[in-house]
Amino acid sequence: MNHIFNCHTHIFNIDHAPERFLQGFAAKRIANIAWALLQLPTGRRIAAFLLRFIKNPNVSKYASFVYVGTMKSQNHVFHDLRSNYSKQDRFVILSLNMDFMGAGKASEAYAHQVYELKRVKKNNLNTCLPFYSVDPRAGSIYENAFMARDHIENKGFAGIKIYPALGFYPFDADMEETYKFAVGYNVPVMTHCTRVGSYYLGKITPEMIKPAAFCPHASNWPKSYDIIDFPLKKNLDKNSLFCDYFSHPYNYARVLEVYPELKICFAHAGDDPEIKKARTVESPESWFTQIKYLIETYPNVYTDISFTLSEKDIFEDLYETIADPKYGHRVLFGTDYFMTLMKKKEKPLVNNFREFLYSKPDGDKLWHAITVKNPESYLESDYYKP
Amino acid sequence: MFNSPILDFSISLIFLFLLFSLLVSWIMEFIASRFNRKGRHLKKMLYALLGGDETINWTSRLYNHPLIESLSVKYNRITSYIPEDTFAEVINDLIVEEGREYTIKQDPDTREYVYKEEKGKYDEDLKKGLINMHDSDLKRTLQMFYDQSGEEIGEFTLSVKNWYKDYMDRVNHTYGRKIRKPLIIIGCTIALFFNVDFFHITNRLWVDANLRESIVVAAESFHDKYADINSLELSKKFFKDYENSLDLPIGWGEEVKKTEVVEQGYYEKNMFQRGGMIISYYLHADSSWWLILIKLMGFLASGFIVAFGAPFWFDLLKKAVSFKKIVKSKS
Repeated sequence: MNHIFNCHTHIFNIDHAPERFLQGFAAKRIANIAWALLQLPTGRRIAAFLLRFIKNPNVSKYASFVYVGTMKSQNHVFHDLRSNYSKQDRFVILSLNMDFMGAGKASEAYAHQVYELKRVKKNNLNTCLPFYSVDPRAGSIYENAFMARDHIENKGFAGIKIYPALGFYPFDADMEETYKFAVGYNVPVMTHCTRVGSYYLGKITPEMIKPAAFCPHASNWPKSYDIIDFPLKKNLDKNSLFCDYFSHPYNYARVLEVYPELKICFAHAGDDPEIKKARTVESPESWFTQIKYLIETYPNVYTDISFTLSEKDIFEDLYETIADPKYGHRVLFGTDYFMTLMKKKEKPLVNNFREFLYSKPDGDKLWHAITVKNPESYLESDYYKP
Repeated sequence: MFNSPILDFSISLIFLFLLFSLLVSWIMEFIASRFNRKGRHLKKMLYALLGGDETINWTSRLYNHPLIESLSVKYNRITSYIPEDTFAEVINDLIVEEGREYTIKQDPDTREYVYKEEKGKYDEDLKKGLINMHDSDLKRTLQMFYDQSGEEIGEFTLSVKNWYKDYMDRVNHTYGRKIRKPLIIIGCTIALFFNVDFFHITNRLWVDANLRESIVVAAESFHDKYADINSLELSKKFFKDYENSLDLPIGWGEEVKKTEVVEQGYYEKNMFQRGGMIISYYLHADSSWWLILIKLMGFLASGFIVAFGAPFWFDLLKKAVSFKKIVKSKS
């Protein structure tokens, strides 16, 4: 075996993003001007160049998005991604359904994003491992599960992607059949788990304040950890803060109580501010701590280190987790390509972390674990044997 | 009567504005190609034609097809021209794709993914593809062509080709309209920089018989040399040659002499100081506001005249010179 798995990448481009997508990052007027600029091929390059000078993680993600937006199709983006790796390396490609994030219409709806992704899969049968994005608002409980199943069973998709910050709870009643299918066939689920990021921009509805759930409790959830009390009372008019309710690890504790065997990966390990917060012994409010608790409690919970790789000052924290026998076998390697491009190019991003890990005791074994062994057990399902 | 200064005056005026229009079109073309304006306009218009339904974006599908991608001059830049044959072929191929089921599954023994496609006869798959398409205006139009063709592929392809060809006329027409505004802006800007003042030009051509005659001679040789506007090869040299061979009533040289700023050491000053001297002259002239207004109106008129487009002036020149030749031969 001479290939590695990158378990967290994206190849959608600006055509798949809704027209008000940028308002999640910038003030309305600036976002509108930026969007107009992005419609010009030269404008995208100018915007990407200027945005490099702004030192803000969200703006940096957005700048990377702009950069990739200059590429014509997902096929072009995938080729750009592959050019940084060896021929046999494999990539989990996470599609993203942005049709319901309340930011208007994209020039290419999610269905088209999937259509293009299927073409990429067709041309890269063994290296491209797409995940199908499920949003409970896209269809009925059965339609959502059927679409995911059809793509995994017949079109070579390898898993399911969910992104609750775009406006739904992981315990949404319309998600249950999808989880049932995932558990039944050992299909991996990937979920976004950071505060802020890209988030829902539409109106906060009463259903969001008091949601319907198929799993009302998380009885094992430690008392010292924060919980979300429904109906919600705070941040009802601030989408940027409200979106944290959607992504909170507590919601997954409720799902895992009903489906303890669910194979789910918490992307980004809660992100670097949460990892830094967890440095103190008592840090129950840190999402990283809470994810680690879920890893310890449930047999198929994973986390990945994507995006965090661009922050050198948390390398030690990541190493400690990877080297810890309690968690090390559930940590996956991923880069979050292309969100990291403005911080560091893909190749140095990977090489820097590998070199860092190799400098540690048993570094080569740890590298092998996160890039090969752990991804293999995470990705293995009734439909795919790595 | 027709062999009079009026005809020569008209020909020389038309010829001058043809040259000016060509210059502005040349600059406009350069800017448009830099921003791929034509390509983006074509894509937008095709989006209106193909949609556009809530599921699959047919315009993107068309543009991502290898045959269309190969038309792009540069990697990662959309093409600005799609021939009708290619369009029809790609549309057929995309419909056929809709009609063919495929699966991608992992082989449990080799652990390799295997792609399997159920391929039938091309015409049968096309028929199936039309049925499988999501309900949309595009589906309805294509289905209509298919029914009208008696389910015959050749006829169907011809209908698609003609449909696209007719639509392209509209695309070109709307593009012409779309660039009219930028043409006026570029026209007025160039008029200002090179002092292309409509009133000054008409005045000079009317009073100066020698100038008129020399321009008419150049216009006649231009008429004989270029059968149609597409045979013109525009370059810097093309415009420079005309500028050197004809004493054109444009540029700020004459103005400078008129304003008597030369005596104040005009040529020793830098570009900004020179501009300041001319503006100052106009502001301090007896009827300064009137002069400035006339001048600005002259630039504006030149800009608007350019917006008619080079093909318009080219045709007009052809007609005027031919008419002059007929009159000459009869007399």
